[in-house]
Amino acid sequence: MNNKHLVSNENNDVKLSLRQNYATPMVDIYEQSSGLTLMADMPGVASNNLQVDIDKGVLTLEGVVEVGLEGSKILSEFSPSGYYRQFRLPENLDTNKVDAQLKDGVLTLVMPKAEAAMPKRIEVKMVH
Amino acid sequence: MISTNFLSEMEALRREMNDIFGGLTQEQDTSGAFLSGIGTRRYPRINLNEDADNYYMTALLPGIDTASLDINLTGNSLTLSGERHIEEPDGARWQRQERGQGKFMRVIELPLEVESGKISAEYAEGILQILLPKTETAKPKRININLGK
Repeated sequence: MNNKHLVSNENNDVKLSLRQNYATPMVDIYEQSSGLTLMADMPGVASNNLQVDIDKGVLTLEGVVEVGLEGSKILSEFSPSGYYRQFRLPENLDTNKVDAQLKDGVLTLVMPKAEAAMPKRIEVKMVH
Repeated sequence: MISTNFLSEMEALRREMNDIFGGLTQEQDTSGAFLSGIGTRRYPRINLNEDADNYYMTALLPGIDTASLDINLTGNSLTLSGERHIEEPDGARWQRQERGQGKFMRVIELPLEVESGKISAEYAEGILQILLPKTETAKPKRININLGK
C-alpha cells in the first residue's frame, strides 16, 4: 500500500481564500494494518462547530472557534477564528466506517481500510 | 578591525558576568550561550487581556493532561509549565508528524499586581483560561471632583 503520495496531495481550495483568518491545524497521520488514523490539533473547537466531510475522496476539516475574549488586549499571539484543511484520501479506505472523536481540542479520525474484494467461487449447477 | 578583538572581549565580559551571578549558565555550552533550550520555545501561544478588575490569560494547549500543568505566580511573573505527551501507536508508519510534544514553559510578566489567592484556571476544548483578579491597589480609581460653592 503506497498511500504516501496520495495523502500528501492537499487541495488548495478556492474556499480557503475566503477564510483568511483561518489557521491550518497541525496533524499527525499514521498508517496501521487496519487503516489510517489522523489526529488534528484544533483547540477551541466544540463538536457542534466542527465539520468533517469526505466527498469524492477529499477529506475536509473545518472548525469554528467560539471563545469570547474579555477586556482589551495586552499581548496577542493568536486570534481564535477557525481551522480549515483538506486532504486527498487513498481509495482503499471504507469511508462509511470512519469514526471521529473530539477530545480536549484534538480530533481523532480513524479510517479503516475497505475489505479487500473477496475472491468469489461460483458454483456450477448440474442441469439434467 | 573591531571584529575578533571585540568579540573576544564580549566573550570575556560575558564570562565575568556569569561568575558574578553565581555561574548560573555554567552547564551551557559557551558557543550556545544565547540559544534557548527546548523548554523555552514560544509554546504555548498566549493571549493576555485586561479590564478594570481582572487579567484574562488564554493559552492554546490542545490534548494536554491537566495533571501535568503547573501554574505559578512569583511576584508579577506568571509561570506556565507542563508536558505534552503523544502516545506512540503500535506498528504505525508515520505519514505526517506535525504536532509537537515535550516539555514547555512560558513566563509572562504581568503589568500590575494580582491577588495570588484568587487566581482560577479552567481547561476546556484544548484552551486554558486563567483569571487573575487585580489587587485593590492596582485597580483604577475614579476621583470625584467636588464643586466648591
